[in-house]
Amino acid sequence: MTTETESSTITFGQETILLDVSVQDKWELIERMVALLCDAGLLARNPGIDPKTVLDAVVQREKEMNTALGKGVALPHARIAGFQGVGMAVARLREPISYNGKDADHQVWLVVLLVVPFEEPQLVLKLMALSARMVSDPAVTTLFQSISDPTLLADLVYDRVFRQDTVVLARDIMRPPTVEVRPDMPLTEVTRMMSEHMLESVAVTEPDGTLLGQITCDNLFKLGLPEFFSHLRSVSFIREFDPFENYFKKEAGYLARDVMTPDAATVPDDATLLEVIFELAVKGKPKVYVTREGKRVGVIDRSTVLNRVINI
Amino acid sequence: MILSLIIFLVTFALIITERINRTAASVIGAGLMVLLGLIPHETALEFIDLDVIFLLIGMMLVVGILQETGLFEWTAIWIAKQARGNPLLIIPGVLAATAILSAFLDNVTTVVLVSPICILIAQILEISAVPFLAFLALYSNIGGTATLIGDPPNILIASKAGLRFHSFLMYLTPVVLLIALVCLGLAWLAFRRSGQVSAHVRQRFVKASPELAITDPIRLKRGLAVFGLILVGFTFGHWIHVEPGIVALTGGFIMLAVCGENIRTALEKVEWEVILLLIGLFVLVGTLEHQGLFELLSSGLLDGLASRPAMLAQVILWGSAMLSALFGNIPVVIALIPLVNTLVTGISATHGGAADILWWSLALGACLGGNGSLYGAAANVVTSQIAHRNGYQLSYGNFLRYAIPVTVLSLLISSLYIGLLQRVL
Repeated sequence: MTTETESSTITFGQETILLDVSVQDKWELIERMVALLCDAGLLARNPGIDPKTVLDAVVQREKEMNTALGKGVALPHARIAGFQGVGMAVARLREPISYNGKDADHQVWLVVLLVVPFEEPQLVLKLMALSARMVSDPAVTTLFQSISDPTLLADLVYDRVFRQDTVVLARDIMRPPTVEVRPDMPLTEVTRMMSEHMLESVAVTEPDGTLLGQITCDNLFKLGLPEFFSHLRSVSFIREFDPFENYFKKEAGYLARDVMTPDAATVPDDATLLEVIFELAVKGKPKVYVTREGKRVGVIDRSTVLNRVINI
Repeated sequence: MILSLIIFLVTFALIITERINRTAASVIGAGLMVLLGLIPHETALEFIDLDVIFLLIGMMLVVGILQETGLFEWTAIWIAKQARGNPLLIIPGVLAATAILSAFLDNVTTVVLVSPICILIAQILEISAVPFLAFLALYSNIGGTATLIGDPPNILIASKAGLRFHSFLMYLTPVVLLIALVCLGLAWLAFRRSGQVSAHVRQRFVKASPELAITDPIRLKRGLAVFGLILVGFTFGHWIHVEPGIVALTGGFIMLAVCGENIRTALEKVEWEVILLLIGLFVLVGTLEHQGLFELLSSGLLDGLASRPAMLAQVILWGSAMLSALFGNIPVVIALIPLVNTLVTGISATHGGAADILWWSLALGACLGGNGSLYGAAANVVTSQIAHRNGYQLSYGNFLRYAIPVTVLSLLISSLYIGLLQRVL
């Protein structure tokens, strides 16, 4: 179905939905979804653009940034210069596929693919936010798992994505937590996890998600290096003194709770994009934790904003 | 007068116990004096000694600029390298350097700048930093006694008494040098067991490169040149009737311009809390002076001691020392200055210039008495806090172990010196 809207032409309907499809990997799935969109009239208003251009754009974007959102959902997308309209395809997989090739957390069973004009970043952001919001609603994902009629599914998606007018909220762009750190976890374990996932900071939470604080690389360095170092202008004048063996010894006996600080920046999951960027840019926080009723539900850092808002 | 005295005593108690922030207590107390009409508004403003305020702001600007150059790290590491890693030479050397620095810089600033490098030296030498830090605080107070600009009590006394920079060099510097030298003996006793460090540890300093501590040589050269001019201004400014406050403030801003320092960053380094504390104390004590309390007190003292100025000088020396050890030397000096001023006026008629000895007694008593307890001088408290943040316990008792011998010895020397001065003048 191709639908006229105020600002664009939407290519979306039962003919762009794949239910219980089996694929080898995400590249095969993307190829099939792009073909589906093209067959449904995505390029009718775009005579200068061929299917390969669309496919290359989606693949390129996927290579730049893994688009898995967590909880089994991925949102591949592409912005194409000179493109007219909006295209959306939805695929429910019979067997989940590994979306980044190694991480079990990124097993994906539901994929929403978007193709949008490069020249309308706000539209892209809004559609992605609404799509993300739709698939993060447990009631909707339950429906997605059970519906067998593509028409019903198309109506549901259309209603949730194209009939909504919204501002982008924290929950639309947040990433799910990568690691879980409990207050009684040995610090050596925490630092190993931070190193493995290349994290500058981690939230410390209770098993129910209650946010207690955070551990940052700064906390760890300060634990290792005595405070007086921060008052020296340099240390290059001493060439033969390596005190770190002694300094870092104390890390071994510490738990996460001994090192965490309660200064983690948080925003509620319905905070606006402006609030989030205010925390990151104006207040200079490297990361904000997204909470719902005091429970940590996601995280937004500067790279998230770069990937999901600015460099969308 | 009773109400003024009550407000003063309550505020003073709040300041020394720090039940609320001491600056807030001081400003609120001063505000109450004016609001309740205990002192006219204009008179209260006249009691705020702008020369002291300008001098402190100017010197805080100067230190803020110089500290970024790495000068203080260079000094300590250069001494350690010259001592070839021998702790019994490094520690006295660093203490002597601290005393000299402190003679020209505020004591608190000195310990904030030198403590980190002392802890680093102690860790490299693999000895305890606690006695080193205790002596560092003591030597910053001893050094500060030597000059007009070295310690806030001296700045306050000089301003009120009209004493010149060179007068401090003439009357206080020699005795302070003697005290510093004698107390090095006490430091040697405290560290004598730390002298046994391995050759491997000593090599760490032999192979050190102090020149790498200088992070901004151009700024250092320019800053030191301006600092030299400021010292010239302090020494000869009175010839053209320019007070030290104007010299320091102007010099500070010249240094700021010459070194290309950002004015906002430089002003952030000024300890406005101390400045406002002093402004409040000026008004508080000024109110008591305005109401004639000090004339009353001094007439009582003069009745008993007018004919014995030598005894009066000793009473001021030891009395201000004990009060400073108990309550901190800045508030004590501000409170005692009007009293001593009245006494000086009272006995100058009969003893002429020798009456100034009372000011030297107050300066020596307050500055050196500040060493008598952990709370006697701000530098002691700050050093203890730095020690604590780095895992060393420089507790009250621990501090007294080193402080009492140094304080008693330095006051005994001062007492003899004051006695000698009275014979000579």
